[in-house]
Amino acid sequence: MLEKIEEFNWVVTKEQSKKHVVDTFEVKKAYKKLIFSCSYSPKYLEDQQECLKLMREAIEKAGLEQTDFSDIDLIERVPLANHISWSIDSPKEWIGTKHKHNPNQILTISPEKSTFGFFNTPIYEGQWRITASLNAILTDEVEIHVLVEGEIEDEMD
Amino acid sequence: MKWIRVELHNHTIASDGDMLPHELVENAKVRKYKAIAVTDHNTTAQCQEVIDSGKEEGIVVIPGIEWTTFWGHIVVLGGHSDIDWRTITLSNIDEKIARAKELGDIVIVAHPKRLGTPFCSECRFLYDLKHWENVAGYEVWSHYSPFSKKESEIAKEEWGELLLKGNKIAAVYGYDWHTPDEDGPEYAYTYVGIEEDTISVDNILNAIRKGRTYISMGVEVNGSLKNRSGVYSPGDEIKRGKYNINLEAKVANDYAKKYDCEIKGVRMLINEKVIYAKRWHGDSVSIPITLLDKGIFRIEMYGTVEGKDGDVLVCSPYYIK
Repeated sequence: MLEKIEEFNWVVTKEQSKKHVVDTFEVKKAYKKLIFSCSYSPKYLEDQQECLKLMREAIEKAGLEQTDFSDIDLIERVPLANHISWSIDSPKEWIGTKHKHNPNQILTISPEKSTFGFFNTPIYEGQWRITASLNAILTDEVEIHVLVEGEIEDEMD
Repeated sequence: MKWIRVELHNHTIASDGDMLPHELVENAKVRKYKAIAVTDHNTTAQCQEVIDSGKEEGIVVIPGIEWTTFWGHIVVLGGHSDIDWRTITLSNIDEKIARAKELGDIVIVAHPKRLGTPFCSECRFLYDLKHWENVAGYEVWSHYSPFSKKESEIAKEEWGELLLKGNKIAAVYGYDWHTPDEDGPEYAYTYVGIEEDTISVDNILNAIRKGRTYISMGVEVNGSLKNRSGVYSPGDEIKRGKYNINLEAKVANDYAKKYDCEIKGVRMLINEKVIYAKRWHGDSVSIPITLLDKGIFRIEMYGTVEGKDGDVLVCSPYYIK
């Protein structure tokens, strides 16, 4: 059975790109596992003109010839993606980071079988930490939602 | 010296790769790598599983990580580093790299000239390193079709500038392998020169530290740089004077079955200026050469892959004292 431990709702802006958003929560009992439902929206910057502008700026910063990239080539890359990666720390140590492009991810932390990218660890009681690393925020705003749940023993178990 | 085929930049499903730990090893075996590194983005959680699979399949697995920071990506190999990637900033990067080196890891700058955000999040290397002496390798080539793309040309230029400043940095190819893509575009290989009989993590890392590498589009080379005093390998310091270079080169059979690669010529550079170029005929050449200037001496081969012109081999330098 799952029990809600904490819920986070953040709104970040493109000015916060390349920053970490960090928050903590208390684990007050011996859960079998922790489940983090992490999501963000929107995933994509759809505005074609804005995408072209960002790509042209990046090409210029890289010192490459604009003429090597036609608008037709660049339009194939539209929409451009926001990207956020997730890290989890137990009261004792960093457990891992998930750098994946899916905007909706379920991350499980447990002593036997954590999600790939995270170490197996006992669910210690105490203060845990969740970090959303804003690798690329291209849209004006991104809404981030994290639900933290703990799995407890069913009475029937 | 035994030259072995390796791939030092690979991902699994621990980050954004598609391969399970054992699938990475199985695919590596198909490509005849003697060793691979596991370098997931910002996590080492699956290293042991890849190492265990490697033991079963007879492939050496180097534990590692790709620090995927906001200002560039850095491959750290050895599995000793205790650095939290989230603490890396533009101002402390030299300190973090020095720490990784102190702990016994080697550091390779990953795809330094790839287009960054918004094309590929933070992929371009934006750090202004003050201590390049702590960097063991530089991905002169990266990802697909590295022999002919602008990104490689710019990266090779920067690598050359770093060498001219007195840094000793090995040339490395980074496949940045995420998916099996057996039928994908052309890729390259890194070859590492091992002096010992055993292929081990330590021996490979030591060889890279010494600069014993070359990168190629499937071209395999055996060669020597000799004078009356001895025989020298890439990465060695050598004295000014007369030498003889013997080179045997061919496109590896397995690579030739996939891609049409042809060696057209060989060229030699002192301090990044071409001093000698010769068309390639047959399987080998013997070239007398006089190295008069202090600095760096490198060998390259050029040719075609799938009909496109470019470098087909770039060797790490010798350092002329």
